[in-house]
Amino acid sequence: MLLRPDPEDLRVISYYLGRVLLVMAGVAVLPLAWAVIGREWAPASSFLLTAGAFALVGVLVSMAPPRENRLGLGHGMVVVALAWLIAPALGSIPLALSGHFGSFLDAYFDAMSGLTASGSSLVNDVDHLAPSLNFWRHLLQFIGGQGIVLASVSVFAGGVGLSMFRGDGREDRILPSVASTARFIWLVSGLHLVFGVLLLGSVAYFGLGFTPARSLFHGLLTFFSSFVTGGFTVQSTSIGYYHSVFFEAATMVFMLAGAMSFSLHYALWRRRGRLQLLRDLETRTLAVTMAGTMVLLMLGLATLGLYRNVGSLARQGLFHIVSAHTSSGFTLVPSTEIAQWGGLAFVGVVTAMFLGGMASSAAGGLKALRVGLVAKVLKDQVKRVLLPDRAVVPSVYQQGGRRRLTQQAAQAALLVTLLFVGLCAVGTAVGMAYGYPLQQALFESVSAATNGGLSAGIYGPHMPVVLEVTYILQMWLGRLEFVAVFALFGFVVSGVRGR
Amino acid sequence: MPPSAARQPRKVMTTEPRRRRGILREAAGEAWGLLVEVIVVGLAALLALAVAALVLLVA
Repeated sequence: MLLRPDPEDLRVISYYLGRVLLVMAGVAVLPLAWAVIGREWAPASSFLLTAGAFALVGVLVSMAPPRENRLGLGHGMVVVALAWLIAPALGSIPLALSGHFGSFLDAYFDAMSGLTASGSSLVNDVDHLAPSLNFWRHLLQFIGGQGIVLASVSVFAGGVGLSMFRGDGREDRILPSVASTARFIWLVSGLHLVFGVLLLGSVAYFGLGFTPARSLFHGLLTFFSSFVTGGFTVQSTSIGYYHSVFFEAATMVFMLAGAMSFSLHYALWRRRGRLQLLRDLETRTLAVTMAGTMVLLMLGLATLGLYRNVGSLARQGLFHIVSAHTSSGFTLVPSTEIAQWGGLAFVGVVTAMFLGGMASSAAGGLKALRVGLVAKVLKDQVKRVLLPDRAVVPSVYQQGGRRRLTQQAAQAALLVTLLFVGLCAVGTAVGMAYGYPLQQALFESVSAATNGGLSAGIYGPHMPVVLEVTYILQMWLGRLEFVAVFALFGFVVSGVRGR
Repeated sequence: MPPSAARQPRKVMTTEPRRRRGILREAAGEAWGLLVEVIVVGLAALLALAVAALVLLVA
């Protein structure tokens, strides 16, 4: 029997949703300041409108505070799912008004891609986009990848933010409270920001001869994009624009840092249990799958005869696998060239995108921990078949110490794997229905569902509307890893059919 | 000699130096973390070169 939500449930959800939108209003002030300082008056007025819209909607929906300050798990999930639908709608206002997008839906696609840290873009002529608008796109990515929710938990929700935290796909608290965990995550990001801007800016200044201001701009925006494994870039030719192996290496450092779980950051930071990290199922799975997919990609590229010397094959193979596996979406080649990567090269990149980074990181995809658990379930099953009936197969694995693989954990990992496969299949079918070949449709669908951001040429302003909406939904579902979206769906259904 | 006289007077660190030392320790910890990330990319690049050489030999 479904229980119909009572008015108090609605008050709790709308109150916290309003708080998240108010945080976004504060975030929108940053590009406004940028535009005013840079005397970009047209973008400045659109940012003023955006900040106002976030603030107005935020205040309106949080006008009736709940009687009890209790945010349940279900409430938190619904807040997160709604926030990820409404924030891109309001965040796309300055993009839609810029004249660089064919329609409001294209601008919404870009904002959703930004907030879900996917990195696919439909912007026309990004090379001539106003710097403040480019800053906004990258900031949307950073705030989305880091977590609007994290920001909100830090600022408003305090001790009741655990449910929102979980809805955002972050399962483990590193520190005793969610607020202290959120503070730790922001601290790690802050220190990486300083190091990242210095490193990338220095490469741009000393290595590429950029002016100090331009070095800072490219360093900051590339850091925003790489640390949350986003994929937006300042130039239309992505990281290939720089033609610099040092810039690519620096970007890879932050892509990998972004794909690392914050527990791993914490362990490195505190210098505790570092050797344990090497034994962890997640670390080992990521190392094995990254090496495996890199070999596949390189074999594919060599077979296609695209890169004939060791240096260029290693450079293309490593960069694109790191970009795909961390679900960043940076490239060194145009999407038309990626579309030609058939055979093993295609298998390598698509598999890497599908598998993704670590759990509780900014990366998308299935996540290394789930991949490891599914492999463990399979291995144990084979052992049970081969060993005598009376043999006991211990289901244990290493992850921050010795853990027992419970039936519940195994079921959850298998279920999410199945849902991701289904989501990719649906996107592929819609792409094929519009006449795109299987390989291209599958590539784009996996890229959207795993927030990968790489493209084989379908993403573009010419895309059919239904396909565009499908990719938007895939990005939303993939970012929230289904549960929060199902909670929202369940909430709506119980509102209609519940008693 | 009574045991209390043999004991050295304990240095009591005030709150401010302790806080400063804590911040420095955290920054050093993070610097180590960043260094590990750079080393991982370096090792990955070496591995990529080795794999590429092997692949070109085989293919």
